[in-house]
Amino acid sequence: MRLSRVGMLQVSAVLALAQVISAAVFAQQPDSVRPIPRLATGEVSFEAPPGQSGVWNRGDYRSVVPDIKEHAALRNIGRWDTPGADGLKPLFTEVPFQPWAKELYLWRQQHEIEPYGRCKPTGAYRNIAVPYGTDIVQATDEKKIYIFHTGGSHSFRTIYMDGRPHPEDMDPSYGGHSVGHWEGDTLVVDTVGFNERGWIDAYGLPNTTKLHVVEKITRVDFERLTYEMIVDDPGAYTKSFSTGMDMRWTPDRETFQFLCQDGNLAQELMVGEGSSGIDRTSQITP
Amino acid sequence: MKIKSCLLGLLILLPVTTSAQQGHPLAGIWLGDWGAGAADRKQVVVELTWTDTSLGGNINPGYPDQAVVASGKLDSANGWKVHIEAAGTDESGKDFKTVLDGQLDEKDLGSSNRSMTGTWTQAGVSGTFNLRRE
Repeated sequence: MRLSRVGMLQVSAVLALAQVISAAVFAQQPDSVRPIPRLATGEVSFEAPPGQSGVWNRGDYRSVVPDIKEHAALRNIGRWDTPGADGLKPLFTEVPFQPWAKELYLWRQQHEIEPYGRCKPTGAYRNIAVPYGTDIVQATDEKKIYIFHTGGSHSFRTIYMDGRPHPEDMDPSYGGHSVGHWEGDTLVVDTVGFNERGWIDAYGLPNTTKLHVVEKITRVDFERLTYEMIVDDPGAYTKSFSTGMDMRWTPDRETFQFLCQDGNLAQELMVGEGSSGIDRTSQITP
Repeated sequence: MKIKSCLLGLLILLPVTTSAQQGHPLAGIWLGDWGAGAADRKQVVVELTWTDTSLGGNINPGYPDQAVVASGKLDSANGWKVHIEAAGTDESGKDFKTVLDGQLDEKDLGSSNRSMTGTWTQAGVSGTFNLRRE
């Protein structure tokens, strides 16, 4: 069958109209029902759709749920945490602390001398659970994924996706050395090589240089990521354990320059005496 | 010659241990003094390591009175009490034992420059020690 020129123009017009209607319908869809975006490679995209902006925000700073009186100093239950996400977190009494690690963690509930609040880079859970949003940039040509966060020291982490192993000999660092791969639509990141200067999370989970972290990041729908972290550190814990959180897509936002405490309007909250009875006033940088 | 050996020992030691900053509260290099009285103080270097579940290290590495940490315990649930036993051999070939019983100062536990104090016993002599983590 051959179409006349007029017929072809009609078909083209109908197709164009369909595209316009489709785009309009898609644009009007609430984020909760929009499909999970994918890159040209087929991988799930953690980035903003073309022409749009947005960042991922942590659901909760906590990686451990308090369940004893001494742990009650914990604040900030998080705005977006769902029961499912909380289900990823262990209760305090379920964390397999070594005795010293448990007591140090409890001490840190009353003495929040957090390295993050004193301009240090962060790794593990605290690398993701930061204020003001996180960018996950997939440089597929480079076979790398970069995680940029706004808060803290405005630093970034590189996840090597080219199949390389961890170096056999490396200097310990705040973020460690990360390699990643996909398991279905879940990004699995394996990190070792941490120093002992940071905290695993904002509440002071301690670690040694033996820390080995596996993170599983899954975009469960357009507006939600599930972040799971498995902690293995025989120097601080008697066995491995896992925790996690929900992360929510915040559209129309971008990371901005937030260089440590420069311009920070919450200095009192981070390093001041405060009124909560929690000490954050150490002048000594950890 | 001995002084040179001592300094060389410290220089070799420092880069290895400066990578361990926080982690276990006892791990790191501690500097301070000990002695039987205020007028009888000797400077001391204590290098402590934490390997999964055991404390190790050296006291005065490179010095004639060097001692190897044989056992150590941190009682974190009861005021951060510290007990360290070390063994060495002096210049005359005689074995000696050093015992430190002390406590971490809880107020600066969050600092890398935390401190501990307590009693020191070595070769029948007792006194006090003061150490600050570098």
